[in-house]
Amino acid sequence: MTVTDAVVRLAIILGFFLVVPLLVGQMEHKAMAHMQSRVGPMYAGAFHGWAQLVADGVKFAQKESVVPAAADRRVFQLAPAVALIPYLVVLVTIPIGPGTQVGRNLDAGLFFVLAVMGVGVLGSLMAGWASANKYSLLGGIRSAAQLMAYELPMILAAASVAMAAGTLSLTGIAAAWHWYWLPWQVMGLFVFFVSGLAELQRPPFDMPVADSEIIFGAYTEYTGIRFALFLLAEYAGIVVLALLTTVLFLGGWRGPFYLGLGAAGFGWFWTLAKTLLLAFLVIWLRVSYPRLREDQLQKLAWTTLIPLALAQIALTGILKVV
Amino acid sequence: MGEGKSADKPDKRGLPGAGLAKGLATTLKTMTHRSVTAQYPDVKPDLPPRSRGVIALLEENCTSCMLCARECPDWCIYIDSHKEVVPAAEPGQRDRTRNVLDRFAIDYSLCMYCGICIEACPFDALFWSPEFEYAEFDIVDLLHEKDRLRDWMWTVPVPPPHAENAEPAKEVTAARKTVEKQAAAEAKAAADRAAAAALAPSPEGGTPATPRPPEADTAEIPKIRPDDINDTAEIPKITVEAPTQPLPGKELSAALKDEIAAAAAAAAVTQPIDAGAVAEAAAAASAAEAVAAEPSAEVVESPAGASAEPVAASELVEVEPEAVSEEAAADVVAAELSTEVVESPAGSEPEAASVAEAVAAEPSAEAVESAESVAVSELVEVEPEAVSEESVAEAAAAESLADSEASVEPVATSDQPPTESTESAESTESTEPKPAAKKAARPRKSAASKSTAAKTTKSTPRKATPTPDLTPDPDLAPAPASGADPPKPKPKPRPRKTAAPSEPPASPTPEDTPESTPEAGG
Repeated sequence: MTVTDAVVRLAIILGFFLVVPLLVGQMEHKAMAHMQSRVGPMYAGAFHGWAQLVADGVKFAQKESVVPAAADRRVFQLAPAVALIPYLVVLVTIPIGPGTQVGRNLDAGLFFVLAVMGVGVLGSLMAGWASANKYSLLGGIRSAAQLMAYELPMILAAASVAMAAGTLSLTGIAAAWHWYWLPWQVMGLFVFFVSGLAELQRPPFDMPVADSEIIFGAYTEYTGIRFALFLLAEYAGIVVLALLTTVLFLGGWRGPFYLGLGAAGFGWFWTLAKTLLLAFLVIWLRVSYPRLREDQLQKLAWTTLIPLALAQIALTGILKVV
Repeated sequence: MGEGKSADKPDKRGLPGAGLAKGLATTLKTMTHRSVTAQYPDVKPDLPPRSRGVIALLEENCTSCMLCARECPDWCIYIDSHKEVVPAAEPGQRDRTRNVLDRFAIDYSLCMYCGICIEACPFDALFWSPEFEYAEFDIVDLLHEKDRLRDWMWTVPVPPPHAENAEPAKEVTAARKTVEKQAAAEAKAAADRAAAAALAPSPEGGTPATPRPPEADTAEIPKIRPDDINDTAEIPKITVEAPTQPLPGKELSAALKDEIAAAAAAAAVTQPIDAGAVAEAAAAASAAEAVAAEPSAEVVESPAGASAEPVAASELVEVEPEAVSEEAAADVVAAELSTEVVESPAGSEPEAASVAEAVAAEPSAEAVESAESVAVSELVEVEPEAVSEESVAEAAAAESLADSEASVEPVATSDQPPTESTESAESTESTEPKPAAKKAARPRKSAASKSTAAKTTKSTPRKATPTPDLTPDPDLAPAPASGADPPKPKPKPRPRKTAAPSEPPASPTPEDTPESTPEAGG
């Protein structure tokens, strides 16, 4: 891999990182609006408000970025980057097509991805602690509790897939995928996706940010561009989660038909389509369900998801050995 | 997930997660439906007319009674007023005091739009308006003073129409009774006067009556007509109070002429109003009236000029009697003219008598029209206040002429040749073709009052349609009752009458008429 090759790949990944989350954000604006019988943004960009997020970005950039006097200044300023950058790093190892259509194929790709995504949650913890605000602290603590509760089922579900594929490489896992994985790994798919939602603190698992009770939790004190970075991290997280779910459980770049469109050249298309479909599901769930209470949140993780994940591992192991 | 449990609890029948699926289905279904967003700034909301947007003040109705301010739960109405002493109208009476509104303000930053002030107002001075776009950048500007509150009145919607078969409002019933009583009284008085006048000028009166038996009857028995008028029209205000004519023997001084002209103008004004009303009822009749108004002016002038004019007036009157009915319409016109006429009533008695007859007859024609459209007659009634006599009679005659357009105009032409000759010519032309007559009437009307002119213009279209048909038949039926009829009768009387008063003028008029008719037809 030459330097230019690496630069091109990183540029593509950066572009992907900057564009697709905005696409998801815009989709959330419009889909959520129509699910609520609204029309959503209509003015920015003149055509159905397509440039609404651009306008939002401009607005955030113009705003004053306040750092509270009592805040832990360095940590406070660093938190948004800690929340955002891991998702950019994760993108490097996620394949969008067969073979070399990946930023960097790591043999321990799955391990790397899960580890780095866990770092992203630290951004919320840092923000909650550094803000010197009790609501932020509450939000940070809830984030920590949620991270601890949902990281385990997520890793167990991913482990099931790794067992089935016999490799930790994301490219290898996607390549080893067969259609019968869908019924076989369906429990793992469910656990992984739900846990990922909870880690992203997306509704209905948004107890840590719960704007109506603890005023956006860890982000209460954030303004301007730093707040925008947190929002971007949220949408980037959606993209990463959808990508990972696609690669691990939905066959990655494989199309529904092994015809011309299913060829290697169109792999990226199917990956992207599945990703956006899952992103839409994330939005759909947000619109449809009310927020889970903190105790319900914990109960769901410890009494439902973890047993399900363990059962999935058992099932995978039994079938694999047999 | 805990979803299974939560879903099971609400409906135990369904599968685990059925509730969750239902939630997803609901949102997805909603997404496929059209949104209900109102594009407000771009598309104005379609508010019900009774929306509580803003409170409007009809300052004229406000008596500064303070009831609204006292009832206001927010105390957001501010009223300042002072008393003014109105001197006694008559020596024996006390001075009166009345409240003058200095300030009336509603603070919409406090108002909670309960509408209690509107309910409390006993004088219908406060109204709801659906307007709501009066947001301000400064809260102080939400204090609307009385000028602004008055401006909101223009946005208050018209109240909904009365239910079709509902009992009429008390106010309407009371007002109608009052008007009917007054009208009846006036009609009686007018009938008496008309009868007296008709009796006095037996020669002229007789002639008109004879040519057209029905009309003659009516002219002879004007009392009947007034009754009819009352029945037909709620506004039988017309009263031919003084049929005296100033026209005859004496030569009118310049001043008198001016007065007469003014009276004529007034008559023209009144007539237009009538015409408008008639237009509602019968287009043709209204047109005839409009025409008549102009002719009347000419007639007025003519009296000053020569005795022959009175004859013409009488003729006109005769013709009109055909139309029948009475004083009402004539009275109105007469009233306006009357004031002026009173000033120059010097004319000879015989002429006056003839004029009176003419007036009586003419009124009848108008009455017929009035019967057609009562509303017009009401308007006329209001005006009669001025009233008076001969001039009125003339005016009435003019109107009657309008009914029988051709006859009137010729007369006018003969009399007026000096100053108004041109106008008279126009009028004569116009009479034959109704549209033309309307046009001729318009100039005068405009001079007199724009409003009247507007009314006449409205009436014109209707007139125009009937006229073509009518004009060809001018000689036939003289009945002014129907819109189509009036034109016909008029032409007949005109030639005869015109010939009687003065042959030379009469001859020109017929010439004019044929010319005019083609124009009208065109």
